[in-house]
Formats: sequence, structure tokens, C-alpha cells
Amino acid sequence: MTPWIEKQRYIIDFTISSLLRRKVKNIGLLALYTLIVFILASTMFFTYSIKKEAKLILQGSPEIVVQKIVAGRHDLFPVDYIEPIKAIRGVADVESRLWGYYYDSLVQANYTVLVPSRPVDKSQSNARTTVVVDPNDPHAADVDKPLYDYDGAAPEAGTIVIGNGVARMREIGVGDFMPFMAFDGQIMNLKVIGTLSAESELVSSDLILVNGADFRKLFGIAEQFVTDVIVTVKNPSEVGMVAGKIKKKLQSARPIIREEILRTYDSIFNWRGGMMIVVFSAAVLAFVIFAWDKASGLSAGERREIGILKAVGWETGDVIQMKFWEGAMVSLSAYFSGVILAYIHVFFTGSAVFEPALKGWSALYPHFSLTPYVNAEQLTTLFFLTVVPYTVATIVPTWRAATIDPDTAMRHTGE
Amino acid sequence: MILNPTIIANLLASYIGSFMLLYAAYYGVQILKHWNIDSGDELQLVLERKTYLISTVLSYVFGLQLLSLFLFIFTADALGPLFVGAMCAAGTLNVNGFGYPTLELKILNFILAGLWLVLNHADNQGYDYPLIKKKYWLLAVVAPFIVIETVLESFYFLGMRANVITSCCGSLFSSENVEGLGSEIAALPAKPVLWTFYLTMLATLSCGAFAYLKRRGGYVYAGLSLLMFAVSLLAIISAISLYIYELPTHHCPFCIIMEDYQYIGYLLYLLLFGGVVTGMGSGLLLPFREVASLKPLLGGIIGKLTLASVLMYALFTALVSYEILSSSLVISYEVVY
Amino acid sequence: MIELLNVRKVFNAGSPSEFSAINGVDLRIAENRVTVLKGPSGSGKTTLLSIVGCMSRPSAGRVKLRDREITSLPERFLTDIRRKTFGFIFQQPNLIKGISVLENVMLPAYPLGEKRTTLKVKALHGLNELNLSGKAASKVEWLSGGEAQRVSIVRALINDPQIIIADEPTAHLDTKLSYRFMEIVEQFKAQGKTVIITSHDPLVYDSKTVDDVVNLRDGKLESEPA
Repeated sequence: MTPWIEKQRYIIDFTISSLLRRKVKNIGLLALYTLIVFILASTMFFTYSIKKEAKLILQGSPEIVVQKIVAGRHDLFPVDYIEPIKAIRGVADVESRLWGYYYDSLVQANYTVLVPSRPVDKSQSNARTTVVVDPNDPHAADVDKPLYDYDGAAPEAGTIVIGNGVARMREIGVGDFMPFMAFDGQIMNLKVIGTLSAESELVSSDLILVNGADFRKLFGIAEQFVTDVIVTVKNPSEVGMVAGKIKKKLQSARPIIREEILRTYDSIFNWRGGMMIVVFSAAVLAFVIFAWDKASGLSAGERREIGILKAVGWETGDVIQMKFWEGAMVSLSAYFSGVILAYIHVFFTGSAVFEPALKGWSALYPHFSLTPYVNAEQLTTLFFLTVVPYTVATIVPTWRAATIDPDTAMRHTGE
Repeated sequence: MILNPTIIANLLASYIGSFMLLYAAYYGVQILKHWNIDSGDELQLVLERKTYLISTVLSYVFGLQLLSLFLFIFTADALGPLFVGAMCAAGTLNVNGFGYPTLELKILNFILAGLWLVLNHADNQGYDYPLIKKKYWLLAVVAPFIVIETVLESFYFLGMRANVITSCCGSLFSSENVEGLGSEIAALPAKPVLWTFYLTMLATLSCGAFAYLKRRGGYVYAGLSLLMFAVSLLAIISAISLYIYELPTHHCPFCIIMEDYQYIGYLLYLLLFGGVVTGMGSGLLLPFREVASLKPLLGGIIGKLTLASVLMYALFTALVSYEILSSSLVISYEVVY
Repeated sequence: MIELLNVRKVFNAGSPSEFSAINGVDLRIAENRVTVLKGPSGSGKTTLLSIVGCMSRPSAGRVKLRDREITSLPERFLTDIRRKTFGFIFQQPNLIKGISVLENVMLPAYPLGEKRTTLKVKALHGLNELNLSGKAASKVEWLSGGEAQRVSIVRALINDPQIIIADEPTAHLDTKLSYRFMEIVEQFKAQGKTVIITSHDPLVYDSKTVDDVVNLRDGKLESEPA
């Protein structure tokens, strides 16, 4: 073995023993460090896996959604528009949809009310997602509804199927009646005939499936209107072109392409994750200052120890190496324990600690567990956000400690 | 700007790197001004201590520079979905005019930081700080580049607007499009480029071996190692990547660092960067062979650097050859080995 | 072997608290002799010793070791010379607490990257010489004052230095242990080593083992060595 490696081994051994000798001081630092990593890692794991989940869900969403726009706001979509769209070359199918939001003043929550247009397996688009986000809606990411094991058939008149969140909130189940206040003030009592599967909670928690006739009665929508339509295209590479043709043919229509939605989702979650990081950066900064302070405020004992090392023949560079290993060990322990704890926190305990901040806008908040998803990008980013600032903060104090005069040991009297 | 954790990490790394380097350069200038080896004044002692600080800082900057180079490409790649048509880093880097210059500067600065460490290492071997002035002049030269890099990188990330339509690697580096340097490189025919690559590599390796064994031709080798670096990058874009992706049209130097290709790119680029830094480093030290305090040692250091460089290039070539041979891609109109 | 030419050491130069600890000292220390630097406290003994032992650099003047000019060597070279040439025994044992006696003894050799097994053998051998073999695994805190000092002597010898430097070695020892220390010094001399001691203890500078006594006052040599 080369002397260099042997030397590093000696230094590492010594560093470990010196860290262990100052347990109390180092445990405090380590705990704080781990906490910082933990918070940032939880944030990142959470946003990234939600993003991933949303992306997976969107894979099954319609290729094009067409809305009608009046004065920049989206408006009810006239059924008359459907035929011209069908006539466009390349369009395989057009499906109309009815959906909307219903505010429940009793529990102060917004439900998404939706009429399943036809059973999923009969749908040309094969899309399992039936409600589309509005890219301009800041909460868009929360409003996407795949129905998973629900067969897609609309409930019969007078009955509804509800999401788990609604069931929890209202404390109702199959067989109970749920009152709604229609647009004209009339009370409608609808019978719950089913609840949606738990796997789809993230997106179906606040969902209520109703019959088309009930929906029109509830919101007062005339027969010649629907909420929007979804368009299926024969050749996937023609999606953009078909969207362009729709826009040309129907000036007031707004076609939204799936890719746009995906991008919007991405931006929103990037933005959210980024905001969280910015918020926590204050914590990181505080930690860095703490680390700096800790590293520069050498105790008399440590000072003496470094003095002795230098007096007996350690060189400044050797002491810097020792401190480097010390930093590396502290950083790596904190980094890995923080990451592992965050992993458990996010994927096994459902982000108990700061779920509200990340997900939240709706009182009907889904209970679900995310599929573990961690990649190199997240881990590198975390490394850069935590280990790098810590390391940099300790360079100057390390150097100061390492340049203690070797003759301090000689001048040192008194034990 | 797009507020993404990875972008924040990039900018943070960049600012920290710049800050550290400026800090080091500030003391470097102090050293240039007040250095007096014969003096035992406290000022001189303080300056000598500062040299430890500066070399520590520079080692970290070097490491950070390497990591941030990869992080940068990684980020550009991950942001792809945000931009219409950008499928990987090649497209994302093109969303505004600052992407590619930032990347180029990052590579340049990594090499410069590496060369500085080589010089520093050599200087530390001499008992009279033989290269101290040169070393800190070099530092003063490197510092502005890192700052420019940071500025460009900030412009790049802060100027990003999602949904901007950009060209992706499919068009930027595909031979159909004839605009821009990227596509000109991609348009080079694969087979001649491979021949050039192997021939230059052969020349470089034999020159390196000669320089190592006979201690002559060092400057030629240093020059060749730089040339080889450029040729290799070119070969990756126009030919080697095709074999790795097994697609005759996908010319992209970035996708090879992705998971889909077993991160082979990291290894390739590490070897390439290592090869050029050590190769040029050996040339950088050559003029100082006759310095009295370095004479007994410098030959050995230069030899080691040359050897390291030759080995890294050789390994790079071996890896590339393996990829080509094991690839199922056959360029039909050309006979490939 | 060691030659000091007009050496000065100034602290806090240029500030009002400037003071010079050593004022133009010329000194030659011969090989294989025991030299004592004698003087009251504050006379600059320790400063001079640290310059002689390559621990610090003089503000002016020259220092030569075996005819090699070492005055303006960078710290890493000075350290390298120091750890191979000098062994230091301090007023305090200056052992690091919390690690074993053996590790303390091996400490100066760590930066040299010697093979662990050989280093261990060397350290155990050294401990054995000073009747400390039973203590190798004990923690430093459990040692008596005399034992602690002997451990620090073993540590000083681990790199087999030519020159032993001892700063007020008997200041914290009782008479019996001080005599024991001088016996050890005698052994060093017998092994051909050079010993430099600072002390104002008559037991040290009047000892027959001592070859030269240098008197120091206010940073200057008082008279020529006897």
C-alpha cells in the first residue's frame, strides 16, 4: 500500500476517534444537519413523485380537449360545434363531457361533479381521465380524474357515486342520501350507490359522479350545451395539426393538447417545489451560519489538540485533510440519514409533516401513499443544496484551525 | 425564470464557486504584491499560510466545477419536457443564447482549474516556492472566466420561459438541418470521422508513450492531448453516439449520460476530461524542468501526468471501441469494421 | 550541527504592542552533546527553542541545520525536516486525551504513512524501553505524572530523531522523577543523539550529563557558553 493511502487511513482513524470524543457537540450539529437534509429531501421526493404520478395519470388523458372561450373565459360548449369537428380529417372521435364544481357550504369544500359520458371500454379515446385541467388555473394540478376500476358508466337518475374524500367529509356511505342545492334553490336528494376506489384518491377524492339529467338540473344547463369535448386523433403525430384546424374552423374554440397540460403540470410542480426550497433556504442559511460558527468556534481542548498535533510533526496540510475527512463524515452521515428518513416520511407515512403546504388547496384532502420515486437528479440536487454549502462554510474555519502555530503547545502551561 | 429545485442548486453552485474563486484570487493578488520569500516578517508568514487556504479553496472549486458541469447537463436534460420540441439537453440548452456558451465556459473553467491544481502541486514540491508568481497570475486569469460563467449561467436560467418552442436534439444535431455548428459536426460522415478519431488517437497515444519513456516530445503531446479532446468530442457527436444509441440519426452528446445508456457518458467524459487536464498539465510543467528546486522531482511528476493522460485516453478509446463493436447499429452504406 | 546567525524574532511587528523576543542571537549547537538554554522566564528561551526546532521562523537572521540553510523554507518542508530530525518533549506531557497510550505514541508518525504493523512494533518497543509496555492500551487519563512524561518521551522518539528538544522538562516533576529524566537524557547521549534543553532548574543545568550551558536574558546571550 502506498504511504499516501496509509496516511489517509491513519488520519481517518484519528478523525473518527476525535469525532467520537466530542459526541455531544457533534451530535447537535449532526442532528441539525440531518433535519435540514430531511426537510429538503422530503420536499423534493414529494413534489417529484407527485409530478411523476400526475404524468402517469395524464398519459391516459385525452389528446385534445376543446373548450369554448367567450371574452377570455371558458364558456359552455354548444353541441352544434361537434359536427364540424368530426368533419375534420384525421379526427377519429369526438366525445362531449359534462362536469363542474359544486361548493358545499356545510363542509366548506369544493366537489368536482362529473357525468361519465360512456363506459370506458366503449370510448374511442380509451382515455380514463375525464376532466381536464385548465392551464390557467393555478390549482390545475389537483384536478385530474382517472377513475381506475370504475367502469365509466353514468349512474342512474337520482343516484351518485362519490370519492373517498367526500365520503369521509360528509360521513356518508352507500345507501345514504346526499342533499344538493340546485341553481334555482331547489333541494335535490341524491342517493349514494357507490364510492370510488382508494387507489385513485389523489385525483378522485373530491369527485362526485352523477347522471346527465341530474347534472343539467343541478346547474341549469340546457340540452344544447355541454362543458367541453374531447377529440381523439387517428395519427398521434397529427395532434398539433388537428388542433390548429379546429382553431381555424371554430374561432371561439380553444383546443388544449395533452403535451401542453403535461408541461403545465411540470411547471406548476417545479414552481411549488422551488418555492418550498426558497422558503427553506432561510433554514439552510441559518444552518450554514451555525456550521460556520461551530467550525470556527474551536473549544480550548480542540485548539490544544491541534497545537499538539502540529507540534509533534503534523503539517498544516495534514490538519486540513483531517478536517476534510471530518466534514466528509459528518456530511455523508447527515446526508444519508436525512435522505433515508425523508424517504420513510414521504413514502411510508404519507408526508405527515408538511402535506398541507405541498398539496393543499382543497379541504378534501386525499389520503394516499405515493409510489416511491427517487432519481439521481433529486439526489444530486439535494447534495448541492446541503453538502456543498456546509462544506464551503467550513473551509475558512478549517484553515484557521489548521494554521495554529505549532509552538502553541510549547507555550501551553497549565493542564 | 423557472423556479425548480435543480435550477436553484445549479445557480447556488455557480455563485458559491465564483465567490470562492474571487476570494482566493483576492488573496492571490495580495501574494503577488507582497511576496518576499527571504523575509521572516509576520506579513510573509501570513501570506504563506494563505497559500494553504487558496489551494484548499481551489481544490474544492475544481471538484465543484466538475460536479456542476454534470449537474448542468443533467438539469438541462430534466427540463426538456418544459419546452415544446426539446427532448433532451441539446434542445433545452438552445432555449436562449446563453445555454451553449455557459456549457463551453464550464468545460474551459474545469480544465483551467485542473491546470491550476497541477501547477500548484508542482510548486508545493519545491522548497523555495518556485512557481508562486506564475501560479497566482494563472489564478488571476482564471477568476474572470468563472465569473463570466456565473453571469451567463444566471442569464440562461433566469431567462428561461417554459413552452418556448425550441429545436430538440432531433433537429439540432440531425444531419437534415444545415444550420449551426452542431449540425455541421453531425453532418460529418461517420466513417471518416471514426478514421480520423482512431488515427489521431494512435498518434496521440504513441507520442504520449514516447514522451513518457524518452522524456521528449512533451510539448507535442500536450498539444495533441488538447487536439484529441476536441477530436473526441467531435467524434462523439458525429459518430460514436450513433453506435451507443443504435440510431443512425441521433447525434447527441448529452443523452449518453442518461440512465437509458447505463450512464456510460459519465465514464467517457470523465476519462476525456481527465485525459486533457493531465495531458495539458504535463505540458504546462515542462518549461519549469530546469528550475533548481524542482529539477529532481519535476521529471517524475511530468512523467506521471503523461502516463495518467495516456492511460485515460487509451481507456477512453477502449470503451468507445467496445461500444462500437457491441452495437447492433450497422451503417449500411459504409462498412464499419 | 545547528547554527544560528544573528537571529531575531519580533512579534506584532508594526503595532504598538511590538516586542522582540530574540535580539540577534548567534549560537552553535554541536552534535552529540547536551546543551542547556538557561535563563529566567521571559528571556526568550522557548522562542529560541522553537526556532532551533524548526517550529517557527525567525523574523531575521539565518538558521542552518547540518550546513543546510533552512531559514526561509516553506512550512511543509520545515515540518518534514522537523519530524524527521527533532523529537520534542514539552513542559506538559501534551498527550491527547481519550485515545490510548499507543495511539498517542504513534501520532507523530501518522503523516509519514508508514506501514501500520512496523509502526506498532516500533511504538511498543519504545514503550518497553521506558517500562511502559503494560500501559500501551490504557487511556492517557489513567497515567501518573511520571508515566505521562515518559509516554511523551517515547512519542518524541517514534520517528528516531537525531536531536531531542526538551522544554522545561522537569518543571512539573519531583526530584526523583527529575533525576530519572536526566538518566534518560544520559541514555540519549550514549546513543549519539544531540539534546537541547531549556531549564532554570539547577538539577538540570548543574548535572554532569550537561556539556554546554547557554545563558539567555532579554533575548540575548549573556556570556559565551562554558
